[in-house]
Amino acid sequence: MSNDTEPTSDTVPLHPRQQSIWTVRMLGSVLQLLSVAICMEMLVGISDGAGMLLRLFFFVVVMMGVVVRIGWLSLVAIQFSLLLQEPRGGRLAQAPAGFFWITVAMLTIIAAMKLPQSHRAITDYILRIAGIGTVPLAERSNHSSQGRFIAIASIGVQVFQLLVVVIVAIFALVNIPIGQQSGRWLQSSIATGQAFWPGTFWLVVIVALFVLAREIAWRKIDGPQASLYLRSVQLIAHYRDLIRFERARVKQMRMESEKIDPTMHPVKMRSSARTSKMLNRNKQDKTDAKGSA
Amino acid sequence: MMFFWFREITGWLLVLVSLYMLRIGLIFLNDINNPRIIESGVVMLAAIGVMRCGILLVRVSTAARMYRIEAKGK
Repeated sequence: MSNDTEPTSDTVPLHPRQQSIWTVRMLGSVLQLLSVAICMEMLVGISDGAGMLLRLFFFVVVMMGVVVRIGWLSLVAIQFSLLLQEPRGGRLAQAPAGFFWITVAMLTIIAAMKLPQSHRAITDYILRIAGIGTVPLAERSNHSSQGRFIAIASIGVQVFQLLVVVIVAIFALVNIPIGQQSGRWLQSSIATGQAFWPGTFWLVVIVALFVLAREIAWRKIDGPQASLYLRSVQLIAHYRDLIRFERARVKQMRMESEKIDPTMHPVKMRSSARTSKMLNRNKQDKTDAKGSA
Repeated sequence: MMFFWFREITGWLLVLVSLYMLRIGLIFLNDINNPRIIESGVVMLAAIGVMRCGILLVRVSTAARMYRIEAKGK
């Protein structure tokens, strides 16, 4: 998403129409990010007694989470706000209302995660309403009836999974440590002066045995599996660089195609850039062939 | 071939260091009169990172050694 909002005016002069499209896109992005951040701030309830600096920090973390597409940043923001709410009891204490708050907050997080994908569709819609013009949504391939059904079904599955996770989490929070065991656990902890059984040494030994068993089991792999593992490790190690190269390539293609037609949609731009490259290559081949003849 | 063994031994040493760090974190947490939860969290996170690095080293060196043995066999 961050690439969409970056100005490309360093090397290429912007067409007035292109400039207006870029401005509307930028405004749309900022408005969307702000609305998501405000929704999350209201839902999580950080504004109850927090200062302006804390709220600004929360905004920045949420926006970074959405823009950089790192989900854990948003989760850190939620944890941070829960930590701030803890002395006051928080909103999650009331059972039915707590369930509602958790569900809505998690749905908002999902919406924030999905924002980079839905961002282009929303921006296109704004551009269409503003009359500046772009490719209509109906022309997209994933807007067929079958694609729409799959999209609705996947959203339903996600919502169902979310509800199951929320119910299990509430049940676990209410019942751990379970029933009568909790009192006994507290008494034995006070008696022994230790927080958990069977003590630190044996817990570390258990972890060591677990690691050892896993590694022994892992060594049963054969040659092709070892090769596959090595290649996947190499890919993960260079993943960021590969993404960077690919983004630079797409950006360069977009800049080249914007020289041809500044009003063109990015999806078409890529294909048109490829087509123009092919046409240029064909022309070059033909002139070479004529020259050699 | 010696290089792979060196990497594997380094990996296992890292795993041992991480287990020691894990024990320190658990000791911080286990003291019921003066529990140091924040310190324990920091040490535990570091221990998990060191353990992951160690296991990665062990696995990569093992996989490379196995692949090399099989390639030589062919």
